[in-house]
Amino acid sequence: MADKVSGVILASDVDERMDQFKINIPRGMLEVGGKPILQHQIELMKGVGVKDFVFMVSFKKELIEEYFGDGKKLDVNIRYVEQKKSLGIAHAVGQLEKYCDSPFILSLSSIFLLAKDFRQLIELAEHRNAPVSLAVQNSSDPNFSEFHFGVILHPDNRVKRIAEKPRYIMSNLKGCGIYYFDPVIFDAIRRTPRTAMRDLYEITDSVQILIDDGFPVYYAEVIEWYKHINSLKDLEICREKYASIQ
Amino acid sequence: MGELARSCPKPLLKVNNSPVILHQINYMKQLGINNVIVVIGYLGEMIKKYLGDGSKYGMRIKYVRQEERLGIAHALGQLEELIKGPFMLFLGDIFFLPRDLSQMLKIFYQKNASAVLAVKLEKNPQEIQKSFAVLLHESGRVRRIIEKPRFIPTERKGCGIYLFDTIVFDMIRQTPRTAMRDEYEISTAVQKLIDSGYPVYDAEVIEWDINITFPEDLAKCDEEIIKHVIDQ
Repeated sequence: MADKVSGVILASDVDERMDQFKINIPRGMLEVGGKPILQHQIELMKGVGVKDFVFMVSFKKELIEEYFGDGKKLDVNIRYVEQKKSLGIAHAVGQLEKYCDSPFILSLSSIFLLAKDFRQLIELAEHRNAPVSLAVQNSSDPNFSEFHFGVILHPDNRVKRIAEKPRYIMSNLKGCGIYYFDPVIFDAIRRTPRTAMRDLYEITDSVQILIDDGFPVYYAEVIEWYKHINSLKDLEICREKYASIQ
Repeated sequence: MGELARSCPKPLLKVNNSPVILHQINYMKQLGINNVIVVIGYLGEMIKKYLGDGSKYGMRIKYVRQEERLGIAHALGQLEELIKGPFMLFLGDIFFLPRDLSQMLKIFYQKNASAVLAVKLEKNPQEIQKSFAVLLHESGRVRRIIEKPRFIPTERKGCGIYLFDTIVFDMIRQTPRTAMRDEYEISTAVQKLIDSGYPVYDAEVIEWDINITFPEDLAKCDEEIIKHVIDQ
């Protein structure tokens, strides 16, 4: 490996959807199969060599900090940064520049996922010298309804275009919100404008800026199944899915 | 800046016994500029009290209060009504020693430029990382400016000293807020000028510069002045 890859997990739960989701703990602390979603993510990343984590926290951050502490229990290192504003993922990640001197995997604590060959997410980027690779699920289901971004490819399999929550199906590749990033992403974040639909700074726009600048961006089919947890029903679905594969 | 800045706005901090902003006003005067607009915010009344209407320096100084802190592009946008021709823009917390600022004007008029950016050739990449990198076309025009770059393909460091044509206001109207600081950045507006096809040039006119951040930076400024005077 060229550089040591670290893990960045946005676990702040600052978005407005929490209002509808009336439970009083951060989504990352919801349990599936008897352990918090955040722990599933730590273990997934640890399995591909990640030791150092940055958690961005806000809502009920003490619950997360009490549970995970400095990470020693799980044999990793965890640092905590408090998210002050809710301006979108690109803005949130931008605040972490000084903690990220090497490539990192970005994840959200609101995603529960089942991965396959997750190492590919890192290896693809490293072998092809790409600053970004996108974790995607390959699904031909015409009724695919999970939150995702669409991906359009060049003939050589580089990503040509990504679009947040596309109205029409762009391809079978569904981006779920987990990425491998080289720190060059921060240069793109500096130039990322706020966009109209959600009045937020979208990380997908930052990725598109890198693509438009000529950087190679690839995808890795490392997601078997995922769900963004926005309700207790979503949580139930995740628990059932997890139980079904044990 | 700690204690230092709580009682005194940065532009009034003294270098060689004279406030930073007065150094800047003198540079402008040497260029033949008579009218100056000072955008003030926190502790701005102190600046107003110090400089007054400028008559004691042979200048006319107007003050505009910055109501919202939304970035330099936004602050500049508020001045459109007051600015009728080309103008220099300095940032009040940057102390610099110029080589020959009149080169900026010369390039501006000879090349019919829409903007000229003051640059310093800088060997230390960490210094460029704190400011912005200026990349040129083969033609000598500025092709790209990169704010706080990670990979630094040049020695040309932008210094926060600009000469603009009023066309920059059209760009400011189109300048979006960006993600890192949630502000309207002047660099985004300059890149818009370039991308819209307006000629933007650079000028190597800065001998030394510093964004005053720590109390010890003032001592560095004093040292540099002495060196500079001896060199001449």
